[in-house]
Amino acid sequence: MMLRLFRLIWTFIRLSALNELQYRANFFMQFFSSLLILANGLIGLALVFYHTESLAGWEPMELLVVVGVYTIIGGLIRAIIQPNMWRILEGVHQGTLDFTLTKPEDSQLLVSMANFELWKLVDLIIGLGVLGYAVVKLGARVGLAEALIFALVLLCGGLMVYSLWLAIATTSFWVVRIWSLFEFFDAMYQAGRWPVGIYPSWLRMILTFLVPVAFAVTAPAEALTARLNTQTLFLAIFVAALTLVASRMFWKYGLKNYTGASA
Amino acid sequence: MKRTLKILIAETKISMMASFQYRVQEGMALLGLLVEALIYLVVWTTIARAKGGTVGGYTEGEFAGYFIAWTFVRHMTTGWSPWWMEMRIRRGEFNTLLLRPIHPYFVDMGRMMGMKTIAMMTLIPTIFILTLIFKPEFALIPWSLAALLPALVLAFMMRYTLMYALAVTAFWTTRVTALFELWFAVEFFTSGRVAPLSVLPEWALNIANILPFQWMFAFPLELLLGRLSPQEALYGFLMQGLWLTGTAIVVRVVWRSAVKQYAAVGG
Repeated sequence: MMLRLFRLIWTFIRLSALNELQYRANFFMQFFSSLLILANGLIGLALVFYHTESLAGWEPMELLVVVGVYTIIGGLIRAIIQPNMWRILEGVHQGTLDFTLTKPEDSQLLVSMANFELWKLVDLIIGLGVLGYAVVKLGARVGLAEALIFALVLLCGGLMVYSLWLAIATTSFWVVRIWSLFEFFDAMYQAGRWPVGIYPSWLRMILTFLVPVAFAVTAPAEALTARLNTQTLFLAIFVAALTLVASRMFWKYGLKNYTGASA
Repeated sequence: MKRTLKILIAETKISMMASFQYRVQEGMALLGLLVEALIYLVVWTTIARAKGGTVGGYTEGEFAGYFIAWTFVRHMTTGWSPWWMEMRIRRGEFNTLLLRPIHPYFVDMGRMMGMKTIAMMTLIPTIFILTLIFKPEFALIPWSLAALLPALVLAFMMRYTLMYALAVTAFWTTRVTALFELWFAVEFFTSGRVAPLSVLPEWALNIANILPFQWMFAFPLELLLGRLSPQEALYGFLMQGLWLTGTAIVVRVVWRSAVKQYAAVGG
C-alpha cells in the first residue's frame, strides 16, 4: 500500500519534471528572480542591523535563520501546494476535476500531488543555502537535538499550511470564486520575514491561528536558535494533527456534496 | 488633445465600473500593500524604541506617520504590473489595442485611474483606522499639502512612463519580467519604500541620489508629512520634470521602431 503510494507520487513528480524540463530558460529566470528577492531580504536585514545590534532579542545570524526558513517554506508553497490547489479551483470551475475523482486512488492524494512546479524549488535550494550559512555561523549553538526538533516543527508548519490551503480549496465546491482567499494568504505570509514576536498582539493572533505563519516560519527558526519552549512544540504538533484531520474530513464532506460541473 | 482627454475619461469610467465589480480582488491587492507597510512600521518602531527614541531623525510616532502616508502614496503611484503587459502581448490581446486610433499609453492610464479611484473608497477608511491604532505624528503644512497634488501626479506619470519605456522592450523579447524584477529590487531600497531615505547608510543614499526612484515615492510622501523645506520641494519638482521629460522622449522614439517590428502573436 505504502509502496504503491510512493510509486504514484514519484510518477507524478517525474511527469511534472519532464514537462518543465521543456522550458529550461525558465529555470534561469526563476533563479534570477529568487536571488533578487533574497537580495531584498538581505538588504532589509542590513538596514536594520546598521542601526541596532539586535531586533527584539534576535541577532543578525538568528534573523538570517528566519529568512532561510521563510524562503524554504515559501518555495515549498509555490512549488507544491499552490499549483495543486489552484488546479482544484480550476477543476471545479471547468469541470475537469471529475476526471480526477473517477480514478481509483485516494482523491485527496491525487489532487494534492499531481502538479509540481519544479523550477519554483529553486527557492528551496536558496533557502537551504541561507540556512546552512547561518547555522555554520551560529556554530556550536546548534546541536543535533535542535536540528531534529527543527525538522519536526518545520514539518508541522508545512502540514498546517497545506491543510489550510486544502480547506480553502474545498470551499470552492460551494463558492466558486474563492481565489481571493489564496491572495489573502499570500498577503499575510510576507509578515513571516520577521519573527512574529515583534508584531502587536492582535496581529500575532492572526499570524498564529488564521494564517499559521508563526508555526510555519517563526517556530522552526526558534527551534534552531534554542528559543522554542516545549509548550509551543507540543502545541505545534497538536495543531498540525488537528488541522490535517479536520481538513481531510472537510474534503470528504465536500466531495459528498459535490455534484460535478460536467455531469 | 481634447479627443485624447475624452477617451482617457471614458476609459477611466469603464475601469471604475469594472473594478467595482471585482472589488474583492482589488481589496486583496490593497491588503497586501497594507501588510507590507505594517511590517516596516513595526520593524522600525521596534528599532526606534530600542535606540531610545529616534532613528535617522524619525521618532516612533513619525515612523507611524511615514508608513501610514506610505500606503496612500504607494497606492497612488503604482502602475500596472509588467506581467500584465507581457501576457497581453503573448496572448495577442495587444493587437486590438494597436489598431485603435489612440495610443495604448492613454488607454492604460485611464484604466489605472479608474481602479485607483474605486480603491480609494476602501483605503481612506483604513487609513483612518490605522491613524487611531498607531497614533502618528506629522506636521500638516498648508503649502506643502498644496504641493502634494502636483507632486503625486508627476510621480505617477514618471513611474508610469518609465515603466512604459521598459515594457516596450517586450516587443523584442517576450520576457520583460526579468527587467522589471531588477527594477523593483533596486527601487525597493532607493525609493523610500523599505525605510525613509534618511535611515539609509551613506552608500545606499549615494545610489538613491543618482536614480529616479525617490522622486516617484519619497518626495511626495515627505511633502505630505511636511518634512521638506521650500528649496527641497522646488528641487524635487525640478528632478521630477527632468526625469519625466527624458523618459517621455525615450518612449516616443522607441515606440515607433517597436511597433514597426512588432509581430502579432495569436490574433
